[in-house]
Amino acid sequence: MTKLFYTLIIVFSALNPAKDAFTQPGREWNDPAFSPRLAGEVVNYNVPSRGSQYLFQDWLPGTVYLHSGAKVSVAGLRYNGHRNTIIWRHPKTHNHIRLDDKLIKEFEIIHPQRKARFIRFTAPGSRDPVWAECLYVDEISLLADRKISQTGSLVQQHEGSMVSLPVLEPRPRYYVVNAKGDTTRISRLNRRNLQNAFPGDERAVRELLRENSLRVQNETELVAAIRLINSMLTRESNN
Amino acid sequence: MKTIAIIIAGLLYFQAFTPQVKGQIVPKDPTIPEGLYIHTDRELFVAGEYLLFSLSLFNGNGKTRDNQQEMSRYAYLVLRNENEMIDHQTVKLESGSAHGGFYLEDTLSTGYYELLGFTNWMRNQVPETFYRKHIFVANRFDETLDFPTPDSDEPVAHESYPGQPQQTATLNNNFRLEVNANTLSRRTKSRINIEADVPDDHRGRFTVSIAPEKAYLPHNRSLREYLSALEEYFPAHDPATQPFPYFMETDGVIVSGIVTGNNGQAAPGARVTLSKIDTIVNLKYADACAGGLVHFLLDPYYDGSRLFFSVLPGEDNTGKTLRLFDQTEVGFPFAVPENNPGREQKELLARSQEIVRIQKAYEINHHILSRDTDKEMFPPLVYSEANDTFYPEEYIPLNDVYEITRELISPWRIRGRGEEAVHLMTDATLRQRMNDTPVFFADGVITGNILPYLELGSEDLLKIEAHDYNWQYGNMSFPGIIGIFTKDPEFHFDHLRENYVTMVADNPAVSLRFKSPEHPETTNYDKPDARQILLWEPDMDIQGGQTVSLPFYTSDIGGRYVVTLQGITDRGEPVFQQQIIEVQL
Repeated sequence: MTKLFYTLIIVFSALNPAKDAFTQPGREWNDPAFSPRLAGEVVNYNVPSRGSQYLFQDWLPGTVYLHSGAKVSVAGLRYNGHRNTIIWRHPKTHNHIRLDDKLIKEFEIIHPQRKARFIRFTAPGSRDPVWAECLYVDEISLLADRKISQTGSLVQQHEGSMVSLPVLEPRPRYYVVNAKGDTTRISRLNRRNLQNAFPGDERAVRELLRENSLRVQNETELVAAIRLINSMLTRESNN
Repeated sequence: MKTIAIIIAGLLYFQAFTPQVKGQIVPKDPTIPEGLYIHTDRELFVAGEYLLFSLSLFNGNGKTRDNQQEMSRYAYLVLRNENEMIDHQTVKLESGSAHGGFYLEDTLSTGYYELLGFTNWMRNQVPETFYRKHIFVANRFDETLDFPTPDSDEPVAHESYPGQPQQTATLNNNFRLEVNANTLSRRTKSRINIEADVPDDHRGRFTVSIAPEKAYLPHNRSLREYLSALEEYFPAHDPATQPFPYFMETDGVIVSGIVTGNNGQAAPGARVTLSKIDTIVNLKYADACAGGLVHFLLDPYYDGSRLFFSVLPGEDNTGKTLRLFDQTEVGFPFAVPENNPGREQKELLARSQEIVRIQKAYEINHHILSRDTDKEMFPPLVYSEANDTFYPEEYIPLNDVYEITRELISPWRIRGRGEEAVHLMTDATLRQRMNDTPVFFADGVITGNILPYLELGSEDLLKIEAHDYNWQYGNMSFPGIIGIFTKDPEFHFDHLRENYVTMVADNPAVSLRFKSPEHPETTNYDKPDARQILLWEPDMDIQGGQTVSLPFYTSDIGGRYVVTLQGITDRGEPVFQQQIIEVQL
């Protein structure tokens, strides 16, 4: 199935070269001289662990949008949630490059199930920005910090010797950004925490969630709930 | 099967909603040709005056401007005479139009000059599609003007539309020009009315000028004639059999060149770098294609700067040479007109010489140079911020970079001196020596020879950046980067200049406007108003049903003037209207 997906990507890219690179009318080739360059440090983050540092295990196609307004489409991109970095696999050397964050405005990773778009986001009370996935974007938006945390360590035999492996687990943090730009973290997924993110509209939000039988106990339900809340509050403000 | 359909639908969805990003071109028809018309304020000048121009770019079948098609956004203007190129400009086009001016240097000798206008894309077309306009310039100090004049004066350009009375020449009556008085006195305010007798959804773009009646040459092509020529010379182009060697410049000027090896043959694969002197490390590079050609898209960052190109030594380590193509070279010679200007025009030139002398004496200038200060500049950064930056002035003075590295810059070590210097850099992440020599940038420019900069002491240096990572930039790998910046880069970099092919990028963001004085009701004659150009409005957008009123003031120069409205409608119809007015002193 994965192989089929990549085949389709390649076929599709070949059919639509103009959108993926700087093309020239009347010329058959795309001159890489016009393509912007990605820059970053060559790294090796391949340390043994229980659980992965990465949001997606496979190298996936993606697009990096630079602050200059240019975009670069690449074949191998991953998001390292443990180190909050974007890793690009160089197409020729296959080196892993930790991209220079400050040159990048946003990026997308195209997964067979979804297109994950990340923007730079600074959580309330935090000084350091993180890359946050946009789960829903409208008047009210939902962002997810795809954090992967070390939750413990495990001593086991690895390549003939006993080693202590870090145990890494996804610990996503969800943030609701309302129309005024105020950000609220949903620390634990449940109805009450979500309705508290909309001060003044708690009752309406509670009713809405009940009517639609949304218990908000997982990410899918959270996205669905935000979509409904956005529709309701936008409709109200228009009236 | 259902899954495949969903994936395809998903991909189509992503493709359809990809955000619009700068630097992308999606032409609807890649074979579409272009034409560029130049309107000037007049055609006879005295050295020391400004030549004002407006440009109109056409595409499609040569008659229409199809705004749905991608068009060039940069045009080149070349002013030349029989012997050499005198001046050139790169002009940025907005919706196919632009305006500006040339200063005609005092040293220009009396004679014909040619103004050429073209886009890089037009270089793919036959030379006949280039607009070529002759102007005649008299040297200000040439008191004899002893060029022979023809026996009888030829009719001037505004009479080239047959069947029109001499007082008013008209082509296309739908846009009507009217001056509220045919006879005016000096320093009088008057008005031109332009009435657009077309449906409301039609419009046109025009240039309006008022210049001395005899300030035009008889043989320059009118807009109508030029459009006809475009139709004739725009054949159906088959890109399969006739590839386009020149780019359409839509996002910036493209500089091209060819890399050759010692044997004179093209050197495909050779890597060429481009940097400019700056206080940041900046770099673009391009790899030569099969024919040895390299191309660089110049962003606004490079406008008006000197560019430094170099060919990196390849694996074969043989010498390679880069030759940049001259963007102003057109490949066809200057065409000498058959006849000199006539007797009346010679008289006008003699009078203009006197007028220019007065203007120079009183330092009168009606031209305003304006710069586009809003342009966004994004340098091609190799890194966003150096890992370590050292400002030597903040420490006790040190004699040279050898001492500075020893005392201040821990990741960078220099072993030996002079030509035997070996540079070692420690990786900031791995805390171990990197395998290779770091890459150096001298005042922002990549260099293979940093030796002259190593002799500089604290008093000469602005800062030293050490980016002590194993760094990747596109396909280039850097085992650490050192940037040395001096307080006087123009002076210090001079020692390295010979290692580069250089050129100065034009600055398309600079333009020139004409501003007429506004005379008060009570005329003050303390300062002369010696304008021969009473009005120059280079870019007027007029909608159907609209009547536009343009005020203008007469000057202290009497005589007959011609008011000209020239342009093209959005339906591709050329518009040309003229009317004679007289200023009596």
